[in-house]
Amino acid sequence: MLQLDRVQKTYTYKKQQIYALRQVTLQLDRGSFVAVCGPSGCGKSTMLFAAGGLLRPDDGVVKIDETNLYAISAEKRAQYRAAEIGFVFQEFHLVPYLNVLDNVLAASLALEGIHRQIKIDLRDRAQELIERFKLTDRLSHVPSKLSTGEQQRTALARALLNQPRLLLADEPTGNLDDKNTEVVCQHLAEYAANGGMVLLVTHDLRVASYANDIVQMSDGTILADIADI
Amino acid sequence: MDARWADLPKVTQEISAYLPDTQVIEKITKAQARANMRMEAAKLAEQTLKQEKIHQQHLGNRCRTLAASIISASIVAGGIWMAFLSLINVRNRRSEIGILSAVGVGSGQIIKLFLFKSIIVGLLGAVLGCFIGLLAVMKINDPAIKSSSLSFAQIFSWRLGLLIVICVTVLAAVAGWLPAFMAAEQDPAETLRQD
Repeated sequence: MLQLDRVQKTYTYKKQQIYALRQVTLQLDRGSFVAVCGPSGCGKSTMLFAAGGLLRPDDGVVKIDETNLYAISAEKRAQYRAAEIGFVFQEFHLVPYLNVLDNVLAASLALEGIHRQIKIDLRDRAQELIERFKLTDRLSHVPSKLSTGEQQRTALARALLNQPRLLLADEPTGNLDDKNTEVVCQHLAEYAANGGMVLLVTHDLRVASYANDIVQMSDGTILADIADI
Repeated sequence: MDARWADLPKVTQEISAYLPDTQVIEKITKAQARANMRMEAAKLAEQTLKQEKIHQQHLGNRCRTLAASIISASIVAGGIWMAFLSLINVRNRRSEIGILSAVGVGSGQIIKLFLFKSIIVGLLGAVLGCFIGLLAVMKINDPAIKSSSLSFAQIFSWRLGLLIVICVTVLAAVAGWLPAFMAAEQDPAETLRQD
């Protein structure tokens, strides 16, 4: 279960305080797929980063099951991210000089000192994901040689490598065509159906419609659960 | 001075002592005059030679000082350039640091990765730089094109070479470590946003 309890985050820009998150409270259970909608700059991405242990909030608690993400050290939080959280970003964020296979395996770099057999298993799983996302013939290609859809599918494969509990997606379809948008959304829905938790940030209601639950955000606050409206 | 003429002042003094009212007049023959001139010329040549030697020594010292300043300035400039390149390299790789950090690679591991690369690049650069520099000096100093060439020991100092390699490697390591450390210590979201 992912829990955000009265999370606050403020940015300072030219001595002016910008409230990105104002006392945000949200809960995700296993198997849930929640989409967060709202205009640009409303704090969606900040909330997603805070939920994933990527951005320390000024106040409030972020918990995944029994682990309070910001009560542990940065090093332990990184280990937790590696093992339990997967990310998919709008800009893909692939390592430019690594090929598809190595990019997918980049997540395993974090699992330091793991047994040789686990490394072999992760390699097999990476191959399996690459096959599943139809990237087999692109195995040795670097990101610049891939289409945007292929880049996003590579990023999705990387996010799923360590079989995380939580998958966070920040506008994952923002740069994709309709066909690739559908592929990505279907995979996210499938992942949630298999017991994972998905938190998706988007301003596209068509994409949000794949989720079980849609919440609306504005000016750093969760306005309403659209499903409840 | 010719030995035959060395005692002349003494002889003149002795004559004056024994014969106080006697005026001693030295009459120089042409041969004596020539001998005197030769002696003066030899004295002058000796002095000139001595001065020339001192001048050459000064010139040598100045050249050595100039060479030492140029070498020191080159090392400092090369070091700063090397540090600058490492800094740019790590800054350009901020997004990579952000990505690795986001997928859960710890800051220690990221710093190790960048430090290792900086040390390898610094070490290779220093060794290669020393080698190319040495080759260039040996080419300039080739006895076939230069009349007074220097020996290998005068051109190359193992101590200086080792010092350069150590200094450049340490500098590259620091230049690689510092920005990597700063980026890795930031929240991954901040690093990704700055990309």
